[in-house]
Amino acid sequence: MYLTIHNLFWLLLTGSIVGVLGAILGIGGGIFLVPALVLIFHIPVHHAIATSIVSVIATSSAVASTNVEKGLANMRLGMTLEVATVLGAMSGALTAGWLSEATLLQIFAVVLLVVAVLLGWKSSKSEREAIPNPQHPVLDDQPDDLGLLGASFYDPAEGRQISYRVWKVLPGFLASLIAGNLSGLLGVGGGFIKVPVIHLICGVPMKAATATSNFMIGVTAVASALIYFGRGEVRPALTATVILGVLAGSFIGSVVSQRLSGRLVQAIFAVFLLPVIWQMFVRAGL
Amino acid sequence: MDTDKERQIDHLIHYTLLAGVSTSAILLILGLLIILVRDTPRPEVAPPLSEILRQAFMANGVDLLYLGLLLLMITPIARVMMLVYGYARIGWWRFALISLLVVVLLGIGLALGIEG
Repeated sequence: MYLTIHNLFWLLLTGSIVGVLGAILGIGGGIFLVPALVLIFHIPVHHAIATSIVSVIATSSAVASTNVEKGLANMRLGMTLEVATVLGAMSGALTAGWLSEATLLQIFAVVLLVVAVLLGWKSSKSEREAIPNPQHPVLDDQPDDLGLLGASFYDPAEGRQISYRVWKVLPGFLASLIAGNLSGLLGVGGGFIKVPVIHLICGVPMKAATATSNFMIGVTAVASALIYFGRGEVRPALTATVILGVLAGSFIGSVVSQRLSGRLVQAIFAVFLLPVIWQMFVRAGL
Repeated sequence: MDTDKERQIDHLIHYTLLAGVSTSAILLILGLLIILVRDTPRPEVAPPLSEILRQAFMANGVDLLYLGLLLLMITPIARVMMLVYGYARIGWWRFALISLLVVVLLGIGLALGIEG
């Protein structure tokens, strides 16, 4: 696609909408960006995935910068799990190079279906139902020993310091491997797999689990982005335009999300994704 | 774990990420503006990574885009390297080694990228 002022405007707008959605829904924008580039702009899926994976680096790095400063992201846990996500991402990116456009579209549509179901499920739960984890209670005080991977952070919403230990790292490692693989294969962040496992099985509070997952995504994405770049699938003008739109959208979304009901938006988009999934299957020739 | 020591690493990582993303965003904006204003040929497909590394410092719109994207991709790598340094500095060798392992894996990714 030749970049004109007209194209630039629509790509910036698309990137911004994707950034806003990602920030409001609390999931990476890649899951929306790839279908938008393929279905609206008719960009080949390999190039759309490459564009998405580089934009994921931008949003993850920008958000992680803030989360690290706030002490929300658990960097020790993140680095440990990054070994798995990087391995998964590299294998995913290499695999994508061997797969046909139709196969990639089919896999993407299936993953999108899973995300739609997850969004629908989350929207049906109240905030109080979604957070508690009775097996691994969050510690109110700050004990001397939180273990090698435990951490604490100040939660302004609750007005107190929250400390936690990390349990069962192996399931987190396996989930990270799968999330990394999907990230490299499809150009998505993979947080929709990592966050539930880190929260529910490893016992990390939801806010810290989300921040830690986001912290990991930048490095995960770069592992596969380098491979896409090497294959010549990253189109610089297209990618640069989309990145700038997504960054602006993420900023706007982070402000808007504080005034919106996240559950309502999740429910709307769970339904909205269904025709997108259908179109992806049609595009794949099914 | 000494949280005061870890806070120092937090600051280091915060500024590394912020500097990387901000600088690359500025380069991408400048690159796009120059391309559109001068109506220079738009790059459709990136050259191999080794070629970008050689031509990254050519000051025209297309190369500014390459430089911006390259800087963006280097930012997370720099973040991991800073963690190797930060953890080693405070003597948390286990995490310094884990971070170093991630750097090695990213190095393999870079090699695969250069290979194309």
